[in-house]
Amino acid sequence: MTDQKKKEEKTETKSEVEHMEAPDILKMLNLENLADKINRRPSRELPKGLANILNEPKSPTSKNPFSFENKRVPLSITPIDSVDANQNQYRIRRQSQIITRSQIQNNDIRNQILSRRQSHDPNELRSKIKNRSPIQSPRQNKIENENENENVNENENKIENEIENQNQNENQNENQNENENEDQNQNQNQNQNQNQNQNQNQNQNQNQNQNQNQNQNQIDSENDDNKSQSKSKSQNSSPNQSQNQSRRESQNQNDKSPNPESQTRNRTLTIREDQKEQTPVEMRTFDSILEHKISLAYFKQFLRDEFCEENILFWEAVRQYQEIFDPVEGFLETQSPREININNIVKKKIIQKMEEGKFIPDLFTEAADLIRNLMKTDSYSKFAKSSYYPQLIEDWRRIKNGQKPIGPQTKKETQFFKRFILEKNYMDSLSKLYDFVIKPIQKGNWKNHQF
Amino acid sequence: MGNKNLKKKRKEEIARNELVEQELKKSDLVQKQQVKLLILGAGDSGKSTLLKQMQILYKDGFSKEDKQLYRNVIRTNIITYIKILLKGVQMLDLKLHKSNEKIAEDFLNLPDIIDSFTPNSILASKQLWNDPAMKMSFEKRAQFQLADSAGYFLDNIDRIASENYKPSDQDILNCRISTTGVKVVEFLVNNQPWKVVDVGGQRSERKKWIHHFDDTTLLIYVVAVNEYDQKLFEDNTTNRLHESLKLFETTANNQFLSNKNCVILFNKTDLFKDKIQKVNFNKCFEDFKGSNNYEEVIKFIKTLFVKAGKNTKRSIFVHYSCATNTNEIRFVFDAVQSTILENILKEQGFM
Repeated sequence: MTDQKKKEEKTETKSEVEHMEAPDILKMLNLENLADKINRRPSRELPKGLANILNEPKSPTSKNPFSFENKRVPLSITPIDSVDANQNQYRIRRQSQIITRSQIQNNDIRNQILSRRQSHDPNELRSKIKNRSPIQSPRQNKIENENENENVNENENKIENEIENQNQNENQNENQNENENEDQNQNQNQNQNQNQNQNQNQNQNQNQNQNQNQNQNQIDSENDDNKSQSKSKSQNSSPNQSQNQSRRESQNQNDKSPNPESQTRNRTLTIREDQKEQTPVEMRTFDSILEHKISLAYFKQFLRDEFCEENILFWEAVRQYQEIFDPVEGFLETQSPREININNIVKKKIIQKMEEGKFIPDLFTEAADLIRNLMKTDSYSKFAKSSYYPQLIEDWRRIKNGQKPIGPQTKKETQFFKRFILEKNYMDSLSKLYDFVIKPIQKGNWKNHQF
Repeated sequence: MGNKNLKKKRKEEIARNELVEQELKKSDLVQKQQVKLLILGAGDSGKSTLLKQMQILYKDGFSKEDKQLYRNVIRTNIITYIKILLKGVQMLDLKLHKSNEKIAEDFLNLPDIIDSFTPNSILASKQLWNDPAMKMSFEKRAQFQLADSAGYFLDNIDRIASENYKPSDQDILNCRISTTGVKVVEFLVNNQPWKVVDVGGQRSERKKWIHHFDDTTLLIYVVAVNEYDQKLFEDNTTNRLHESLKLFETTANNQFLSNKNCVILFNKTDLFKDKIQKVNFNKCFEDFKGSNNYEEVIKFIKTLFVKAGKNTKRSIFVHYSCATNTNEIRFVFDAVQSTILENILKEQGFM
């Protein structure tokens, strides 16, 4: 009898362990990076030669608004209630592998402060909320610092500064997005409204999870050592970010004014005031300025004023040229997601010339002609019939009348599947997608499921 | 004060949630009513011609703008065919007539783009096509990449070279335009909305298929049977029929499509009938030990494909057709309609 019981226990633990490993495989697919690639411009790595020259210390990892930790992606597929404290350790270890050290430290610090404040001083909380309002006046900051000096230790003051830095960074991220939207012009208003809706829905979900996580932390702190506590708090990164989102929401709701253009102006102004005080961490290195789209645009404009734009133009051209040969994102490699549909003969020619070292300017013209022909015969005729074409003509008329163009209004696509396109062997990824995402939905576990 | 604001927010959130749920229900209803057909297959198997046939059968056919585009495409296609054949002549060490040698040189210097077409070049291509060496290289076309419609257009070159040439429906059906990406067209078939998905078939295009794998009602897999002695457009080494079989195995047994009904359409049977008399089928599949008949060979291919996609959850229907023949395709789509009806009845519990 005892043996049988043992066997049963073993099987149970096995099945649970398998269940636990599910999120790990999703991470092995590098889906977090994929989300970046899809939603933002592809983050280009520096060419090898240039990377050595420009090898400055890298800035801490920036928070992506699109990263999987923030939004609806099944990092943990198991329902949280059913997991015991011992198993928590297991999962926590796995998640801590992904979160970088700096993030862990910040999160620990943040949790400590938040927990203390919630328990002790409601006045401080209020001051903090004021501080979160979109227009940050330096006076308020000073007052707050003074109050905190009275109450809290010196160590925590440092910590709070860090947090404020983070907040500023987040504001910056927002502004980047906004600037991009400005390029797309009036679309931004609609997009913002949509985003608000989405965020609110997500917050509802994430707040629930937050409560659950807090409960877990209490259990851990009772059972385990201090080390495990620190790790468990690293797990709390997602609820923290949800709080940040709620802050953003409050900003949005406060900002709601009749003129949508005045919104953006206000925000940009606020950040300039902040920048006077401290440059954000992301903009400190030359590397990161080349990395981001907006900073590059500003840098380019600056160089144009200084009459040395040709340097950055050449650097960009070289980067684009190297993109063609990139085995991961290139156009010629058979496994890359951006492989183009050209004839075998033409492809062989190009590769042969490359191997011989003949990098003549005509290297790609034949392939480019073929692709142009393909677009002209197939895609162009479809485009002329699509709903985009009348939009284009309207915009063209607007430009001729001296008005601002609207820009293409994108269709809503199933973003859920969009993430999986750039997978290398997509047939393999399909099966994994099915096992870990679609099966639980069909079984009815989808309520515990974060997307 | 704070509480009141919170309550207001809650109410707004609840109202918004209700709105979202209503919209979801509506979209669910629409999705249940809609029929979604996936047309898949390897490159150059005739998926887009199926779509063109549907355009003729269930819509108004082709517009004037379409016809003009096809006219240009057909004429430039002829030039590319002639170029490929000329390269074949060089490869096989055949000799052209002396008067044609100069024209051949000019032709080989032309680029492969649609804008390169001129009225003189079409007349020149007509002259070249009458050369016996060109016809020799045409018969050995399996050694290089020549589209299947080349024979049809080169035979009708007199009509196409004329100034007032307007492409007929048959010309448009035979015309080859390789598709990129995914195209979705909606049809009304017997008052039932059909959503038909046409895709590009080359290896680099297959990454994009996944967009439309969810909630399909029927999978139509197109196989070009006549390509059993040809090599792939993409890498020039693997056999096309082998590739097509492998593709069918991977896609049809995929978790998204494994329990969907499937129609396998063996296409280009007319070209297959011609070819089977000249080329032995044993070259492609060494397991085949029957006689080199049309019927036996096609039975063998059918068993291969059905075995690859066999499943307890679904049924596989097999059709033989020539996609350029409108009557045959009409018959196929009638059969498809009946299978879709069966599907619906099964879901409702009548069968």
